[in-house]
Amino acid sequence: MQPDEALITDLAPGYKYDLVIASVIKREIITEKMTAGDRLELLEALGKAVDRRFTSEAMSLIEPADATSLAMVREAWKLDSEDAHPSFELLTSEEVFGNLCALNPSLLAAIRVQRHR
Amino acid sequence: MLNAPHESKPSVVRKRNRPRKYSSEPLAPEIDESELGPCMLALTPKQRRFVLELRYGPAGYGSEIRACRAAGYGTPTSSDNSMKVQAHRVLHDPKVQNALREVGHKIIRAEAFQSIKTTTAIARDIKHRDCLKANLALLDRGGFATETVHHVQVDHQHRHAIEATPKVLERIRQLALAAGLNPAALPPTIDGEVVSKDDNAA
Repeated sequence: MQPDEALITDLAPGYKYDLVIASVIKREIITEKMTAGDRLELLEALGKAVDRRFTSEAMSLIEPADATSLAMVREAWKLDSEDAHPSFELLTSEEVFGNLCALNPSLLAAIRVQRHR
Repeated sequence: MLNAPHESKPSVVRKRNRPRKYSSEPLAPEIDESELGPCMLALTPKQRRFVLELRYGPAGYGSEIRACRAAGYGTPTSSDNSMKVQAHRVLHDPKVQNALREVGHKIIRAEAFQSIKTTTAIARDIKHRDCLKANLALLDRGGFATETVHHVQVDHQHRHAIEATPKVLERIRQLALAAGLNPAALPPTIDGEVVSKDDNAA
């Protein structure tokens, strides 16, 4: 097993999902025109995602998602309904999350920072 | 062994030899189905007959039992007690209840005109003790009710939950820096500014 693969395998799915969502939110913030209220809300959501393991340092390392990653996440969200959220399992699966990390290596950098804590 | 001769059966003697208050003869006229409402049409013929007997028969103690008998429930020899049970069962059927309500509303609507006539007659009789009441009732319903004026003031201000104040913008800048984003590179916000119609015209 490659070291990067081990990083991904060992990480809890909740943290994987947080990393993906953080990159997507950052993309929205830097590309979409929005009201100050909406922008503040998104930035505060990023701030709330930070905890003892997912540190602010790791958060600041995450680069905004690129267009392909964003499209992948949006397609996954389309599977969700009121009762079920299969997008969570899909996006945090080793294959899909590995692809997202390949498209946005900053996700791996953020995981490495987490592991050293 | 000789069989004992059959004794003649004693005739049925009612415990209380009181004559029935009401005859169980049907009193309701035959009504064409086209004149019945949807709730009446939803009933069985017997239930429908029961409702009509209640509507056209006498009111008061024993009227339900009479209507039950007249509608054909039970047998001619059924006791009042068994008919009481039958009447209770039929009367509490939800379909029958709906039909009774339907028939009742029809009666009220039909009787309303008679009530108007009666009220008018009382209103014209200056010596009648309810003359004033009848006149007031007619005035109210004739569009001359006492006018009341209500002033209702509604203050409604629509505000965005968060406005782009310097404080909010500074908070955004700090959070963006903390998240590793360059605040200067963010696109401008799209908060609008309210311009009143008069200002616009000027």
